[in-house]
Amino acid sequence: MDRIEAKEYLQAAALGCLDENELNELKELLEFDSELQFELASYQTLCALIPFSLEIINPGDAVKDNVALRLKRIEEELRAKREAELKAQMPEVVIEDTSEINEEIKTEIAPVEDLSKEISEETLVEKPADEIEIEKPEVFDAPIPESYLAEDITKTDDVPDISVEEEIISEELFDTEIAEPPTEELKSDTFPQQAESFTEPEFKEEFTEEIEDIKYEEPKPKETTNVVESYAGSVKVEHPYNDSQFADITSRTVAEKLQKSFQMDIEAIRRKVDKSEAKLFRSIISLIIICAILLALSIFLFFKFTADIKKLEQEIDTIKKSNPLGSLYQNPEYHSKFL
Amino acid sequence: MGLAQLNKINSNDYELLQRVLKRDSKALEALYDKYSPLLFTLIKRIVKDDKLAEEVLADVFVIIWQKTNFYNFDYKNVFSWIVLLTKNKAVDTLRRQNGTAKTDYDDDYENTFIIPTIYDYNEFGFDEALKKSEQLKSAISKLTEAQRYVLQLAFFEGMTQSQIAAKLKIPLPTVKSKIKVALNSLKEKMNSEEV
Repeated sequence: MDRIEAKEYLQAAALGCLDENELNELKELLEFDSELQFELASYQTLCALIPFSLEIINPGDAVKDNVALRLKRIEEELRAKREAELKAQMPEVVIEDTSEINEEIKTEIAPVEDLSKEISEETLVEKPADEIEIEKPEVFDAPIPESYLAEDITKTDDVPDISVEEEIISEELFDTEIAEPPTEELKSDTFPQQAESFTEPEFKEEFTEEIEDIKYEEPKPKETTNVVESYAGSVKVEHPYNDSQFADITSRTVAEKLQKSFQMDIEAIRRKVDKSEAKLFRSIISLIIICAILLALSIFLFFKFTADIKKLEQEIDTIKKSNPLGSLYQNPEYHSKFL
Repeated sequence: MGLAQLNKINSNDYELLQRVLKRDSKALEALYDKYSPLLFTLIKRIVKDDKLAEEVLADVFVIIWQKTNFYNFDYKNVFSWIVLLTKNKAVDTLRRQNGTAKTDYDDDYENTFIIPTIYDYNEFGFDEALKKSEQLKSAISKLTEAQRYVLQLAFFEGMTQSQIAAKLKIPLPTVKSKIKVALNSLKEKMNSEEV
């Protein structure tokens, strides 16, 4: 079909009486020929007016309702199609069975409950230890300098001797305590005091050691740490779940349970910290006790030696009095001759 | 609803069709209210059955709703697009009813042979068409009976040129020339009526 031939077909095309082949050939030509397009448009408008030559009939309201219903159905079908397409485009979310995870969490929770009991038992054990540890340094009447408490325990080398000695070697104490006790009484009193002073700290030390042994010998605290580690492991590294199961954490129940496990971890850590704090406190107290014992010992030795010295001095005086040479020393003339 | 009632619906068809493209059902309703009497008359004339005409009318508006994107919005002759679409659909229904349709009805067929391609840049809607309706009636009345008959066979009976030739038992070139002459004379008479 050429352009001139196409012009002959425009009227028939506008009326819609062309065969399929003729129509397709004309359409190919029309695509790039604006003149043909313009001419066809004028015929099309003319043909579209032909129905006005008929007597117009109203289709009725039922037809409108029918059209509305059909359009509604079509819209619903389209929506369903779109949803289906969206679902197809969306990556499949595999909802895996979380019952295994729940069971494992439950099984892991169970020993924690036991642990709480154990911890409560442990606290019951610790209570008498605290009672024992209520030590009364008043026995020695030695003042405990505040610097002891304030300073670091590790720096024990520098702390005790200087300050204690400074306080003890005061003139008042020296004068009063030396003047009052007779030498015989000192002899009789010192030994039992010595025995007491040596026995008492040993007794206390044994007690504290026993308590500490009980704590360390008990395997239960170790179990608690193991369980806590396994709990943490279940969340972070050592869990037996694969990655796909891990995605189920998004489900609320599992997330809540994991949160609980985290809380349990935190509680366990807190308990550990409390324990270590208690240990630290106990060690501070034991150090103070040791220092007090040392102080008492030094005081005792000091008194003992001073008493001995006094005793010796008295003996010297008595010897001097009994010895005649002593008078010569008193006389400077003899003294000079002698020299 | 007569022509006077049709005239009451005033809104730009081109804009209405643009709104239909944006899935505005109110715009489609406005188009339906405006066009349905004329289209139903046309369909009924072609298929000659009330119920079938109603079905076809519904089909036409479904096509308008679903395939507005096939309308080239560079051109503004919405009236011709809707009327010729309706005529093509009704003729296709008639052909299928008569068993003369050769091709299966599917989306491609609908897009190629039912939905027309309009090449008119002039804005031409229902209101403009309605103004010209009296001129058209006058022009048609001035055509010869043979010319009117050929136009009737081609437009309302949905016959192709070869079918008309077979029916009238005249050669195909004669039918082609008769169709060409009939439409040209109608155009001339329309122009003369306008003047």
